[in-house]
Amino acid sequence: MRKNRKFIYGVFNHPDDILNAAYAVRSTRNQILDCFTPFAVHGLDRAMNVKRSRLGIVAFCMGLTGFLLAVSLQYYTNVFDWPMNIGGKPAQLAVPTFVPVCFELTVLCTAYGMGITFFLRARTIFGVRETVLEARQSDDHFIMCFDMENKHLNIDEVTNLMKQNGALDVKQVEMMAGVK
Amino acid sequence: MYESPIREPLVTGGKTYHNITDDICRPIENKPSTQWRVGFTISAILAAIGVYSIAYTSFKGIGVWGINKTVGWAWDITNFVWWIGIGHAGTLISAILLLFRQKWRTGVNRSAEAMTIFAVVCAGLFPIFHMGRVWLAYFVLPLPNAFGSLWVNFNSPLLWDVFAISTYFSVSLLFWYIGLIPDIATVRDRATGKARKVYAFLAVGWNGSTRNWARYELVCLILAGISTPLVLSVHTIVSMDFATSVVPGWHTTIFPPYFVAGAIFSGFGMVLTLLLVARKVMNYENYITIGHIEAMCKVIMLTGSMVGLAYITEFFVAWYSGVQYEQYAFLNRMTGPYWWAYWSMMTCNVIAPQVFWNKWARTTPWFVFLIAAVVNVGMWFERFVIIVTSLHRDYLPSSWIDYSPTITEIGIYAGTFGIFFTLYFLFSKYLPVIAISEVKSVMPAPERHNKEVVAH
Repeated sequence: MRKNRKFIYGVFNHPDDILNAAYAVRSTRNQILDCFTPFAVHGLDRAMNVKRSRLGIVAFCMGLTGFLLAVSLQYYTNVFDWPMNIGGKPAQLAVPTFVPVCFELTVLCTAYGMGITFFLRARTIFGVRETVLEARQSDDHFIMCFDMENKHLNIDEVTNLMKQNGALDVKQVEMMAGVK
Repeated sequence: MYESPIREPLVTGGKTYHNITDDICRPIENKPSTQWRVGFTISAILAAIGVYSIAYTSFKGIGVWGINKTVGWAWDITNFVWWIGIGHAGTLISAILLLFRQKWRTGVNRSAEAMTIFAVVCAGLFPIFHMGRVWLAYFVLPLPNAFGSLWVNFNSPLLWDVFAISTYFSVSLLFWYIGLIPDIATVRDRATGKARKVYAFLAVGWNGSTRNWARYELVCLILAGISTPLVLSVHTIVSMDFATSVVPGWHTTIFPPYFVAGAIFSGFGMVLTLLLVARKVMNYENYITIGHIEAMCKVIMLTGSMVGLAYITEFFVAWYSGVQYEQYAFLNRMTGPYWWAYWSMMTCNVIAPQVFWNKWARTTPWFVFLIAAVVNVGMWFERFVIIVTSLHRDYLPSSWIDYSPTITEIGIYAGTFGIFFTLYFLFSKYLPVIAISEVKSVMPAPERHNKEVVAH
């Protein structure tokens, strides 16, 4: 069951400000819950100690699956189940002519395997309700959010740090949210 | 964001982040303009003509087309290759230029990708309805033939094409949609009422979290990485439909690179044709600047020269090979009954784009529009020349015959324009035409008030 959670967040209007604030917070014991920005602010993930995404590994595995699928499909249909008779030559894995389909299925499985994993992992799925703190977070405002139930959070400290680094406002909110 | 003193800014007019959101969401939030209504109506009428012509073909059979025993491929495959080629520019802009870190692509990638998807939709119609008995189209899938024991032949380039085109369409659609999600979320956060519900559904709960941005950027990078060889493979495989046959004029190893260059060439022609109109009508001169147009003109000039080189190489090799059939095929292209098609192709594709060596030509929108239109025509003629002139005089002189299209074929071709533009008009009204989040990330950041950037 989801319950109401309390958050404190700062509103910035410049990507450099939120970046500076994130670095400032990192040198304290406080933990940023997440930042919400209208576009990818490069370096912010590093400042927040976000681990590198493993979607690349997923993509590789999916691509390999697609490749093996293509090889087995072509081998089964054209060599095993109904051997192709081309000028009476023995039916075997016709490597050069099997390359294009292997390539296409590898790409297809990589793209969709990784894409679907991305949607599931990012919890961006049709029908998911968005948790938007401020309507302008997708326009021109940059939000830095903290979980108030976190025992290590020093509310006064993060408020000051955000204000020192140019936060326009610091607000507290209680909402039902799936923000992790 | 670091501002280079030399490079021109990618967004002009001193826009702030909020201005960008406003400008790009405006067409979505306002009622459609009269120009839009008129354009949409004309496109829808053309699309209806296309649907009628396609239905007529399906009921009567492909005997209603001008093709015959000798010329088995004509307008249908010409149009198929033409539309597929147009699609290639979108993927080049969104994938290859992303890998090359060409930041100017952000202003044009959204609409170019949309163009790709709509062009592939139009292209796909031709081979499907060329099958005649279209209700048996599932025969191209790797199913046991007629559900008996025979399978599709994986040695055939026509089957590779099925895999290539469907993969290309699916992956482009996914790439486009993932790119759209943050912008749909922007539209959602400004919308009210029923529109909000629709955009909220499409935005799949996107909230711009930093963790998600990190994943998003990685996914886009990998998609770009796999789309780059994909786009090259698609037209390579299309060219193999021809190159693996033993028809003079088709049986050449130069075809794959030559077709890929031609595809990018014609695609940029179409991108420019569309965007020059869009930037004017929708007032996006600050986002699709003269710099963007100039960059695209340079791509046209480069790929146009590559295509010209391919024509000459092809010609030289036909002579040098000493194969009489090959030599005749090329002589017949230049001086035979379709000489006008050949010389239109040469003029439009080889000579016309050379004007872009001149800076004035690259930076004058109306002139660029004219050349882009000429390129589109030229590339259509290229496919027509390759297909029809090679087929109409085959090895057996008693089968020699001329080809001209029937009204039904013309109707289908006009209809694909209708379908393409109908989809494009819907896109330009209901979705952000410019990638809002990407443009914001490449523009100079707004002025800050006496604060210093801390070096990290």
